Amino acid sequence: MSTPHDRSVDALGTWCPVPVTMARDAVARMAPGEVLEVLADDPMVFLDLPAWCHDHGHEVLSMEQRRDVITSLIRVR
Amino acid sequence: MTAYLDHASAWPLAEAVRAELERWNAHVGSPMALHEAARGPAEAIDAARRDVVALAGWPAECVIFTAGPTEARNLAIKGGLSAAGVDAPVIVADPLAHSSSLAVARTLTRRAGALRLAPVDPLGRVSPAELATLAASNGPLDVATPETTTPADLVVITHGQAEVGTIQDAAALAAAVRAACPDALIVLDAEETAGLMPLDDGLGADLVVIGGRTLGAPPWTGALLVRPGTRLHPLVEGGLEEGGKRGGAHDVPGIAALGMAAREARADRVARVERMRACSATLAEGLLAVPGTRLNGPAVPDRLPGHVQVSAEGVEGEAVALAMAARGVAVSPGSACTFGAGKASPVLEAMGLADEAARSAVLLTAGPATTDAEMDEAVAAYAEAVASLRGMSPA
Repeated sequence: MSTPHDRSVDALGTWCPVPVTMARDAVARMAPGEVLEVLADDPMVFLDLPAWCHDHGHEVLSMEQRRDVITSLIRVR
Repeated sequence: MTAYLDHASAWPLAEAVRAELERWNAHVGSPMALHEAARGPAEAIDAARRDVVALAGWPAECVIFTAGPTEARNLAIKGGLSAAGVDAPVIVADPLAHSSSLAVARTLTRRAGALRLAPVDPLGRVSPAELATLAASNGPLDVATPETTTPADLVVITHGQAEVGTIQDAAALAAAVRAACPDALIVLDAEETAGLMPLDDGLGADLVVIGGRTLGAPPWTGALLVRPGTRLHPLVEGGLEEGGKRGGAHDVPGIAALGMAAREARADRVARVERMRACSATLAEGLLAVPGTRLNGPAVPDRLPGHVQVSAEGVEGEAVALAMAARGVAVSPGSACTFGAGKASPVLEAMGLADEAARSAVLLTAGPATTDAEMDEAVAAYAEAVASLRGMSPA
């Protein structure tokens, strides 16, 4: 059961920075306060996604890895 | 060319489809760029995305454009199993599946896993119960792979069979597999049926292979439709194109042409199918009047629209096709995939056709614009070719 979110990005199988860029494009279409789910399997997202969120003021609500899939939840600034 | 009856290879392009190709060939600007020249191509791709995914009724983001259906098959099978994290895949298909699906399955199971092939009846049909049993547990195996009792990771269902025209009850097959083996990915190969038959909700499959040809688009165009929530890894890795699932620059003219063709096919589907079925009936009647000729595959009302495959005693299919070509009639030998290999079609062999009949097969495929005059010419050329070749054979 996935956590409630307003939009989801499936970046599975891609390598950074593609997941971050896909998150950026999704966030550009979202309203402040909405939650974005990012699915990825490149471990670099553990570093790159929080760094990008920090730079742009978005809040990382959670990052969890289950088997190969890393699920990140971001609240849009 | 006096008669074109090789729609199994390529369709003549409709005027609106050709106009899209020409329009975007003349346009400079990548759809991924930030400037004004990107706007047109980006909007053309968005429009095509909506028109193509409408075949299954899924959201616009559920389509990945590919360079033809063969790439889409590779993406579905390799990308689906990769995203599922399967190292030793068990794949279920049938011997009538497209050769590229079988090649991918054999490659992926070369060192570990297994390929199981479902039996087919003499008309090429797969039983839902037998497919489900095979997916859930064990069954006849491809000779090249070891035995296993593991449930299937992926099942390939071929909606329409290109050589013999068999149409599977894909929805029933997918439902049976889903009930018996809920975790298996289901790939529906709809290359031969897209635009001709409804594909609502992907007929229950997770991934749907689309080819441009039967929509009336160039044969090098295609797409993979992805059920919402289905996980997939890219086959061609690169950047952001196609949601990261298919890297590389977009074929804007091809995608725009595919979208236009999908739009026209949806609007015109019933009339096209009616005309193509009538062509099948006319062709079959004329061809079967040649003594010693038999129809391979299902009866005309039950086979792919526009499709007829026949075998005539005492002749080789390739020789007949060449003789007809010399008279200006375009047809195919029975199997494009084994053409030139000196082998009978494995599809016809799997259906239990005798070797001689399999080698003599010739495929005629009509389209919605095929004329009565073309069919008359084709039937006459076939009769003449068969008679001439039989006359040259030793008694």
